[in-house]
Amino acid sequence: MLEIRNISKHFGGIKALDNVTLSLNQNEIVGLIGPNGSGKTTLFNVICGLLKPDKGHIFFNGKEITNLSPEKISRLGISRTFQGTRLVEDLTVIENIIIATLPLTNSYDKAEELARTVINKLGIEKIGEVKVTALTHYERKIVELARTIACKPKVVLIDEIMAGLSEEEQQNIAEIMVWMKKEMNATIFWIEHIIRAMIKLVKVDRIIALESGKLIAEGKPEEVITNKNVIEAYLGITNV
Amino acid sequence: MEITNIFFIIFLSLQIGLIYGLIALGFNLLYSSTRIINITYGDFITLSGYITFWLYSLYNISPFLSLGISSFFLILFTLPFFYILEKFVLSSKNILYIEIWGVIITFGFSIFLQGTMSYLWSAQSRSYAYLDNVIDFFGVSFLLNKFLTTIVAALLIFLLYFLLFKTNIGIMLRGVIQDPELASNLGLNMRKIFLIAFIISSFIASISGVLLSMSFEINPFMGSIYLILAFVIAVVGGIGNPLGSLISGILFGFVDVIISYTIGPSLKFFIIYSLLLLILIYRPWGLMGRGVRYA
Amino acid sequence: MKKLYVNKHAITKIQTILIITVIVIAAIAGGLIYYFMTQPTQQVAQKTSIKIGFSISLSGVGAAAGTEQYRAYEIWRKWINEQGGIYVEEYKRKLSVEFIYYDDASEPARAASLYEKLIVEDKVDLLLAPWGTFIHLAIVPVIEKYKIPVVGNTAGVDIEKINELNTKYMFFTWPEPKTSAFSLTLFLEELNVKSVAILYAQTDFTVLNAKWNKQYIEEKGFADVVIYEGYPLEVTDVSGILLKVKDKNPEAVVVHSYPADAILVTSQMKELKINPKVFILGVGGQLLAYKQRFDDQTKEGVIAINNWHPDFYPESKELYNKYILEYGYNPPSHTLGLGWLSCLVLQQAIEKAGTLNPEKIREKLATETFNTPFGEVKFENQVNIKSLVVFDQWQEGDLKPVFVTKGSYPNVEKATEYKLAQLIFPKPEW
Repeated sequence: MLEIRNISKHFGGIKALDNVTLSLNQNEIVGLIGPNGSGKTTLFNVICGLLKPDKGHIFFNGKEITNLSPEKISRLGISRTFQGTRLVEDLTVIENIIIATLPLTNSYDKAEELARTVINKLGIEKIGEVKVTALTHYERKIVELARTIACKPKVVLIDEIMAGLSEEEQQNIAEIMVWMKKEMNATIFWIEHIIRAMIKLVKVDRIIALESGKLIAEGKPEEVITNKNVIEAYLGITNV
Repeated sequence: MEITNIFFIIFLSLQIGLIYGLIALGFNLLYSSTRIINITYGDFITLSGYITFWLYSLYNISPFLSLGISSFFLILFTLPFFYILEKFVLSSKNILYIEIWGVIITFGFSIFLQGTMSYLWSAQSRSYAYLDNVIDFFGVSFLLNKFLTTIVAALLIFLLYFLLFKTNIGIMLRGVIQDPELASNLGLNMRKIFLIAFIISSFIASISGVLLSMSFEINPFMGSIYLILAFVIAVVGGIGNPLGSLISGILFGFVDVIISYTIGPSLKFFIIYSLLLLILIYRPWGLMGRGVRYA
Repeated sequence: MKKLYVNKHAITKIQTILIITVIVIAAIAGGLIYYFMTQPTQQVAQKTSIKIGFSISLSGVGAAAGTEQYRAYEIWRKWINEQGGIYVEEYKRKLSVEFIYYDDASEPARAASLYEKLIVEDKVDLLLAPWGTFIHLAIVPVIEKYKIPVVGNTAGVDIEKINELNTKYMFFTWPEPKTSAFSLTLFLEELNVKSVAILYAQTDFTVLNAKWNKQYIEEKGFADVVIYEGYPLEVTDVSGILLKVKDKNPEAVVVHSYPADAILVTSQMKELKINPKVFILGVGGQLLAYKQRFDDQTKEGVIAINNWHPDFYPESKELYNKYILEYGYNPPSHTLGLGWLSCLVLQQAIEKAGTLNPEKIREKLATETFNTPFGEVKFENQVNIKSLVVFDQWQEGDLKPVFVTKGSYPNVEKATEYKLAQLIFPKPEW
């Protein structure tokens, strides 16, 4: 479904991504792990068009999207959330979702209708008219997820959603993600540091590990987290 | 102070403040959504003033009709202007690049426009007399044209408020202003929104031009004065914050008038710019806060 | 690695296009500006023409007045060339007049370097004055250095300042502030007003005018100065001061204005229904924008300070009519009068000297008396001591002369030889 081939990206002398090749299949949840600065978010930025790769190609359903603008990529059905949430602070919850549904419908009424269905589905209709600046951390995360869902994406890129949440809140979000996979047939690519949530709550299908821009492990969750390279990368031990 | 004087001061402050707020709003809107510092903005105001002047003095067309005619011409004029900027500047992802080249190109346009206007119509100042009679309103006398100018400015502000805060265009525009990266990631048609921002900005410039031409004389180089005003007021109100521009414009009007009344106008600019300096030292993001995300 | 390096620093395609576009636009614009702003010069072996150079403000703050002044020059050039030119004894023939001029963008430094360029590169024979007091002052060092006289124009400078300049080549024609202020005082005295409000724009010229005006009224003691207040030039509202004026209800309101504020003060006077018996404006009340801004009924009775009138002499009327034919209607503003006055004085100085030698022309300027259709001109210590001050009143949409003085301070006296219009006094209510 989403194929990433030999992607490299440099910032000055730093290799943020170094010849990364991977692919996502229809309707699976893939975890992406790696220490800070390993290139996870850069990979997301490259996929959704915010950054142009120096080298390599990205295909979506067989069509090359490497040099398309973010808006075009988004319209093809790739949607994302941001590290630490990113909302339009001046707008209300519902407006934040409408802004994402407008490109799909081209009609304000339909866009609002769609947005309302989504917030009803996620049970946040009560805070619909609240300005997002007044929301809690958890509510912001849900709004961002709602916005992503409202785009009716085929592929969802989720960047660190569990950080700073309670057990119960993590559980709720995990349920939403599972629902997205089952009911929306979405493919989810998920950066997360809380590996427990990945394995126990969401039960991801696969995990991919990055370190210093290189892909160092890929496979079943249990295999990857017990992989020697991955443990070393996380603990910061390097073989001399 | 008599009560009628207070009423007069309020009216006068509003009259100046609303126009300044409008001008700043148009400038702010364009900059914060596209990151283009449009140096030509002031000259659009001038051009609109000239259109109004010529229509009135040659064909006796009322400046209130010119509100429409002049906006139409200016928007028409904006289209190629937008197209060039979009092609060569807005296509970049680098904000610094857009800002620098935006200034260079619009500065060139500004010189070109000023030169053309002074070549065609000469640099001599012009003016016209329209509805220049005094009316009484709650015991205070006003010039009718000023009075109507204030009403038109207020109406336009309501219209813009509605547009920005109650419509989908407004939601999209504010989204793009606050976080262009996010907006493009959500699939918003950036080109369309940029075009809308250009059109709204030119529309505001043309209305302001018509209104200003009723009270003040026009000449090809007057745009620079309004450009600086727009810039200062927008910065004070907060870049990316449309309400901030309006409020700071009205505040500017009040401070302007009240200083003239109390201390006397000779120290006016000194006081205004000192206040401005203080605001920028203690609130560099502007009075109302910056609505722009600097990612 | 190497390729990447190249990619990162090389100019991208879009930048190339951009740079080329900018260069092309700049080149075209530059060409156009050059084409419009300069007259191509023809090198002629035989002396058939006099090359006169000047810089003028066709853009920037002085553009409006500068344009008028430039047009006045141009009209004079056409007028004199129609008569075959200026007779110069040295060549035993009439030489036509040719202009070389540049836009100084109202910038004094630019004007100074343009005058140097005119003298050194363009090798002009003589010079005409630029627009504005501060630009006049800026070119003084240049003309002193190359010793070429300039008959000044729109430069209102106090005599003390002129003496300080220690110039031998700049001649000032605009009545210095003391002169016009004294003349204004005489006028007010004759009208027998008892209370005067003096307002002024904060520019060197208008501040001086107001200061002397107040002093002379107080010295003569015929009236009280009840309000004396200034405002900055870029003012958008003067109603604060005007409300104070309204409280005092003076018989005369004198505004030492500087173009744009003349309109502002008038419209706010009208708005606040302030109706003095006399309302006098300085610079601005006699300009086209002022005429256009107010209908005839509003303007009726408003007085503006000037220094000529086309009804005084047929030759000035001829120039004025020629101007209207060429450029459309314009009130007989001080800018036009001063423009022609300086051209005619220079012309007469050339004729009297019989040569194009700048030093000899300077000598004539310094010593001779010139009779012009804008009054007599006689320079003493570089200043015209015969200057006219004319008070024009708007009457049925036209400027009519109502009071004239001649001579410079302290020898200002009422001139009686001119045919004047009947003064409308008191000024009708708005």
